[in-house]
Amino acid sequence: MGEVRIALQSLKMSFSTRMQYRVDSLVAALAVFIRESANIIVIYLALLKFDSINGWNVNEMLFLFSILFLTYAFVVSLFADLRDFSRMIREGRFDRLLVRPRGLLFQLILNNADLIASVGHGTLGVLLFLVSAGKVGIHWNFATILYYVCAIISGILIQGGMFIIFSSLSFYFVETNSIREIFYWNMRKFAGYPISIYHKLIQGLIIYVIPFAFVNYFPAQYLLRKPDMVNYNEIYIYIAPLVGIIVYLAAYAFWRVSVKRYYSTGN
Amino acid sequence: MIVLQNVCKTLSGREVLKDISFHIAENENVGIIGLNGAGKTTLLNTIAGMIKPDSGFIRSGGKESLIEEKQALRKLAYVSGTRSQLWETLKVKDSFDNCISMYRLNRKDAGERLILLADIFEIRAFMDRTPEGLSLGERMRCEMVYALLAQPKILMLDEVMNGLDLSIKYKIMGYFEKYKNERRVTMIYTSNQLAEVEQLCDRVLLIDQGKLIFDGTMERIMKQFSPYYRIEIKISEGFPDFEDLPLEKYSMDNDGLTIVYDKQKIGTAQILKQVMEKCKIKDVKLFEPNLEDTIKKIYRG
Repeated sequence: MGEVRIALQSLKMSFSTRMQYRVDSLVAALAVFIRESANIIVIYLALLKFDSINGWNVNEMLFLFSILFLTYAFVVSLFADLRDFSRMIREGRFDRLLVRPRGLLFQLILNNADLIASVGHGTLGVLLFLVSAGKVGIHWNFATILYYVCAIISGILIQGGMFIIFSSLSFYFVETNSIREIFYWNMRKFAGYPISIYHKLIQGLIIYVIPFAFVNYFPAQYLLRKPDMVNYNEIYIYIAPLVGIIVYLAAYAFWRVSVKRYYSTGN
Repeated sequence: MIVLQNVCKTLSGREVLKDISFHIAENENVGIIGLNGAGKTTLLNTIAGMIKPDSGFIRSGGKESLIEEKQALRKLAYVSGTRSQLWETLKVKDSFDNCISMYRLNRKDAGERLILLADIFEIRAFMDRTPEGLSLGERMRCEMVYALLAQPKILMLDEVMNGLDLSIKYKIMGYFEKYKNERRVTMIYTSNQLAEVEQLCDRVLLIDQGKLIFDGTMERIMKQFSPYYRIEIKISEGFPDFEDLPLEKYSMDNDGLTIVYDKQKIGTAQILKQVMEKCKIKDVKLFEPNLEDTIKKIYRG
């Protein structure tokens, strides 16, 4: 119960910090929303030129995007400290967590929520879902809704796990942002489109190394059943809701090993 | 029980701890003193388990590292100006609230404790502010309250009196004295002020350039290495005669007389009496011993 209390307290604190500058915060959230929307609008206009890409029409692709934004809205509210972890180490703000009687990841996950980014991405995610979900022929019933919810949770865990892994690298290297830039953000850009359009190498990366394919592509395939699924093993669709747990546990193990290094190097 | 055996640590090419060994028993109050950069903070971090020694043996309460043990952490408070526990963007009282949940404290008891502590540490006026707007001393006082809320059994205080006004400093030291006597805690207190340690601690570890050069009672350091006192006297008339007094050093210019002496050998009153026999005194200034002199004396044996 104590955990829930801390979680609510932290959320309240993040919220009240933001509310000290109410207008600033709303403008900032709006800015995030507009920035991300602009990308989508450009893509949308470009896609109007084509009937479909590898069998995916415009609405189906917006649905693919919506999962990315929805999951990311949760990721930034839970894993904000891990997103900014290298800066936290540099500024010496990590040390204080060490002497508190709670797990380090527990503290990092609960302490800080980037509500501005969360609202910006979340609003866009919901909008894209509302625009597309009714037009892509998904039959919403208990099974599909359950699958969808599990897939969203799994998508959050996959991205959170990746943030944990990139944060763990901070214990080995001084500069980790460029690694993350290459592997996380670039892969995320690829994940906006059906992965079947890419070279085999990139498909391999996005399925097995930085498994963004399990965040949105395979879950969308369960609901949409597009013909390009013949390129992949059907099992991927069914394990997608589980991949999050696997990635997260692996990330947790890597974190546990890596954080030990922090002690021996003398902070 | 805290045990260190032949602990060495090199950080960025510098030997910060050189072959340090000592024990600290439960309920013991130990002052670690040393000049700036002597290795006090590194030693404290090592005891807490934040830094692993390159070689040597360390056990705190039977464990290699206090801070990897969540149960142990609930009983440990480590207050340091460089590792603030307060949230920068939150009101101080919200940080305390967070502390209460983090340490799973009873809300009612902790709330009552907080009222008491806020009075003693005189922080009531800025509980509604964020730490950003506070001075160093005000922040340190809040940090100490944060630490004491959880009623720690092991108190590690790293130069916590820096930036405090004298009056509040004595009040707080008085509180720590009471706290350690009533609750039987292990206290480790670092400072570069002999007088602070003398008041709070029974035992002193003197660190100089990463080496432990003295480990003993405060009494012994005062007796055996009794640091030099210095007295400056302004004279309006006459010349003093110190021929037969056991002084360490004296010098004279214009109307000022500077005398350095060892209190174990000669008392301040005796010197003044001697001066007053031959001269008229305009003004007297007394300087208490400082850490540098003590360290010099310990090296000389």
